[in-house]
Amino acid sequence: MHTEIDKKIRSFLKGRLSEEEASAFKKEIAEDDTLRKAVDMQRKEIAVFEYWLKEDLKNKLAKWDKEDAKKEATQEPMYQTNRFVLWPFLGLLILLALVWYFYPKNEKSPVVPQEKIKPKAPIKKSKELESTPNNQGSKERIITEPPQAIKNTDKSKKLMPSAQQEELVALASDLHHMELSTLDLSGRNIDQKLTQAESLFEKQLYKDVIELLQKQAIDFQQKEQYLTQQELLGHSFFMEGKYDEAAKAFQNIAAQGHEADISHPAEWNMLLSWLSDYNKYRKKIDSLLKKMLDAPHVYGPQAKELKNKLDSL
Amino acid sequence: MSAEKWTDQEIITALQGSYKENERALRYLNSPKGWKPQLIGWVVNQGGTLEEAQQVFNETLLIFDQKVRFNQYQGYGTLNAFFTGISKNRWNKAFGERNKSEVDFELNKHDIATPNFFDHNMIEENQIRMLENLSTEIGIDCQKALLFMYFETPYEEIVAYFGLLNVEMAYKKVSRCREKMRALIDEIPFLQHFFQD
Repeated sequence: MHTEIDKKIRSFLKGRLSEEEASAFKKEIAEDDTLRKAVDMQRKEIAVFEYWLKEDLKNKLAKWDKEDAKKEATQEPMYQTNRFVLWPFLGLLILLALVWYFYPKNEKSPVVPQEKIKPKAPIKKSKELESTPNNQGSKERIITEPPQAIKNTDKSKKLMPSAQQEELVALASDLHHMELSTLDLSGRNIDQKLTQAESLFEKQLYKDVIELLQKQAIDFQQKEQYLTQQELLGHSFFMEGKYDEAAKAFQNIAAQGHEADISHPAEWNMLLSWLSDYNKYRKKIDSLLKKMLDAPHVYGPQAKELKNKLDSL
Repeated sequence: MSAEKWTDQEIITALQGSYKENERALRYLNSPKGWKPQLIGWVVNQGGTLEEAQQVFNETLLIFDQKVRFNQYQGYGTLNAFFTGISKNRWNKAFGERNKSEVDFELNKHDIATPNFFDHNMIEENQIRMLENLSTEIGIDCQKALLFMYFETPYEEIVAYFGLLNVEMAYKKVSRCREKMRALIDEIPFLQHFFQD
């Protein structure tokens, strides 16, 4: 039953042959009618197998969930017998809550000490922001900035299959994660609400960051504050999987920044956001990559690596 | 294999391995120690209910398993990021649909039945029924035997599973089941267009 040719056909259909092997095998199939018929038959078989596996997995998941629930339930009585041990802790918790409630608060509340909201990484990209000039009228820009760059589509090229697109989303998420690990917002002269947003961002409450920065009025008289707001929004949108909005925020930063320290990271993050829909933003991605490769760019090496990966898809 | 967290390579090897190994990896991913809590938390954080989170997880796991088995993970990002990418797509799709129609989140039966290498638009209700009839005619035992064959499970394991006397009997059983299936699927022409390589 597991004949060599049988195995080879299955490996071919499962994408487990090397590129060379696969193209040689395709050639063989085209030339051999019996082989072609065998491949067609296995295609049909695989369709049925995958249907069975789907049903099989559905049943297994239901069974496993029941088992896990049962396991949790059997652990509960042990907890119940010891629950009186928890009373002193509960009392302590109430006491702490009362202390916190009646503790005199000022604007710089000690609840979230400044040291805690400082990212772990040293200042890298935002250092020069402190010396950037004020920019009056930025508030208008946040509300009215049209998302021109994300409206275009390029249908002239072949569409990327969803499997590769998901690979790209995974890649973009990983690269963005690296960005976040080096992000440093400390040392900026920002207002109280942005400080609050930063604190939420540090706690990875991205939805709350978006809500706070989108709904509440913030004094955006200073360029620095506008950039911080857009940066927090951009990264939060990205983490929430709202890539279009993320791209828009990073685009706003790139449009403002004259210094490489500001515009280059923004462009890179914009590129990562666009990767979420390669078919839609292909033209934009290609053009930005070209720009990043043609002229000196902080993210030049990363852009080169990304371009190679995109070319190989 | 580590007791707590599996590495990416361990997960891939197991998913692409025998039926048993594949099941073990899926069991791990579905367990509290695996990737389930992370995804459930994410969906709930997006405003989804626990039931919706459970459905998104199940659907993601199904697609993820198929993609890994069919070598569609190329290793550009981590395996977890790949999994998260699939789940975000599934959630956004479902969430978008809910916004549009204002009806409760409900997974499309055809969508679940159609992994990414199937053409979604080609599966009709009557085709699902044909597959169900075919499964009934083949029977549970034969289905299991053929799935073992699909995962290239050693015949010794098949002998043990069915309580057979020897490898030859297992071989005969699988052969008979396969012949039966081939005769039946010959009558279902749409299957050939189901699978896109």
